[in-house]
Amino acid sequence: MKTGSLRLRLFAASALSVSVALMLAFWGLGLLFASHVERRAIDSLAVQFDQILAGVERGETGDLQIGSAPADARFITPFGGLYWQIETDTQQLRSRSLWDFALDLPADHLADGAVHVHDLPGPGDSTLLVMERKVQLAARLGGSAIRVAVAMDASELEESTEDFREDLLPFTLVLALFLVLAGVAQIFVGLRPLNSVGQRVASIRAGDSLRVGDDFPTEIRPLAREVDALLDQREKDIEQARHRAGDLAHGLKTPLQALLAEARQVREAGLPDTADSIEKTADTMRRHVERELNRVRIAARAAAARTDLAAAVGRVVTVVQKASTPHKLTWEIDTPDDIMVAVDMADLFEILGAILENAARHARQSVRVGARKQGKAVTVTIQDDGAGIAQDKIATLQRRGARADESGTGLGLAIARDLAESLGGSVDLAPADPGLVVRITLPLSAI
Amino acid sequence: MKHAVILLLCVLAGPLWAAEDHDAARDAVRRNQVIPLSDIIPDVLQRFDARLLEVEFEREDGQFIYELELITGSGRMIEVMVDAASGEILGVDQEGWQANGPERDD
Repeated sequence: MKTGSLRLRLFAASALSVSVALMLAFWGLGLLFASHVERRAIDSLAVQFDQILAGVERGETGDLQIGSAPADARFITPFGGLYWQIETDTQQLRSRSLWDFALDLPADHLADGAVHVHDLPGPGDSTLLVMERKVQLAARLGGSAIRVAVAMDASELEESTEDFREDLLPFTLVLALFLVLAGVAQIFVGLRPLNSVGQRVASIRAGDSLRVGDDFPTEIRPLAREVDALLDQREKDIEQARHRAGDLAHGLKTPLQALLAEARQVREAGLPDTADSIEKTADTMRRHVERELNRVRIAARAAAARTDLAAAVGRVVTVVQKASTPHKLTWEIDTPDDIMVAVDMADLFEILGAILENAARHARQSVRVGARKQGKAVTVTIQDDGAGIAQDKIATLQRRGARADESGTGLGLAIARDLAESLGGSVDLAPADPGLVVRITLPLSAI
Repeated sequence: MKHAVILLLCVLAGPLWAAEDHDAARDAVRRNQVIPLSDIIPDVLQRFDARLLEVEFEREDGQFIYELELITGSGRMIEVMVDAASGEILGVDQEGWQANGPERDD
């Protein structure tokens, strides 16, 4: 399939068809007008024809002559534009306007009464529109057959057709402009639903909606349905993969318990070093398994979670104050009321609990808690005025998957980070003056 | 002798008076005595920026002459005498006209 702009393609197609159609119309109307003008000219020639025929007389010598010539001055003035010519077997009578020129009537066989129209060369470079007819004269005029021709300068006809074309051209151009603009409007109106498909898909990616839906024009609905079907399929696949990961983790739990029991027997059999080694390996594996199971649980819970952040912070602070503070701390809490996060309440308590507990433990006098929305996420900042953590240790703690198991601080932090990351958020540490600042980023609820 | 010349002129000029002038012109063209009027008119009209009103075909002293009556673009009527055999302009009957060039309206 070709790339490029659909609008441009449609625009080019419409501009081309409009141009071709109008050129045909322009050409066709010119032809129609020309044939109309010629018909009118032949009609007026017919009138002149009758007048000339009526003026035919027989002179004293027996020759034919025109007694009363038509009044039109164009028959009199040399090359005046209107001409007549009469031919008999012996005579040729011509209008004065022909002057020294004679019509060279083609030697075709005219049936009596048949009217012939010719284009014949005239005086100079002119072309004449000639109407001629064979007439049987009345008995008093001798009863002979004569050829009578009347003609007019064809350049007048061409000029009026040319004038008509000149008048027609601006109209055609205005019409073309209007049609092209109308085409552009059609393209924009017609293609607008495509934009909304893009917006829907983008909002799915941003987590604001789940499906594209099918409230679209007939032509786009198949695409929307296909995208939705694809999303359904993907969701099912992810669900299956998650189940499989859960099953795998679950399946490993019992063998690991068995392995630890084995280790105990090994220890009793007098091989404490080997037992330690086995226990340590098994323990690491168990932690991985548990983390994975945790992740599955969290993801399942977070799907429809909607928890008030300010309320959660308030409750956790109350618990931390009661439980673990040996001395009185000042809590400066500044979390806006209207923040709803897409985190299950228990998980939010666990994350906030771990971080706030650490802050309370290390703070000298005060802990500050703030929150700020950033796009589709909220960042919670927790700052204590304690001794802080050395820069290199922060780097170690920040390392992905790192676990500072030796101290309680590291463990709580690791659990909080695991939870936050499985929800699509993060936990970051940074030195502050004084103390330490922890930034927890969590997704906002879309519902 | 003088009578003989007049008689000859009358005989030669006879057809001009007998028939209509355009028929006489056609006869002269067919005998190759004169240039067809349609060969002369475009040049004359262009030279004087004029339209043709009327033409007379005359014979003076054995010379065929077209006497063209024109109306110029500036609305003046003029008469131009043209030698029908050569197409040469013999004279212009209009006040202020100089034979060395076309009329100027400025």
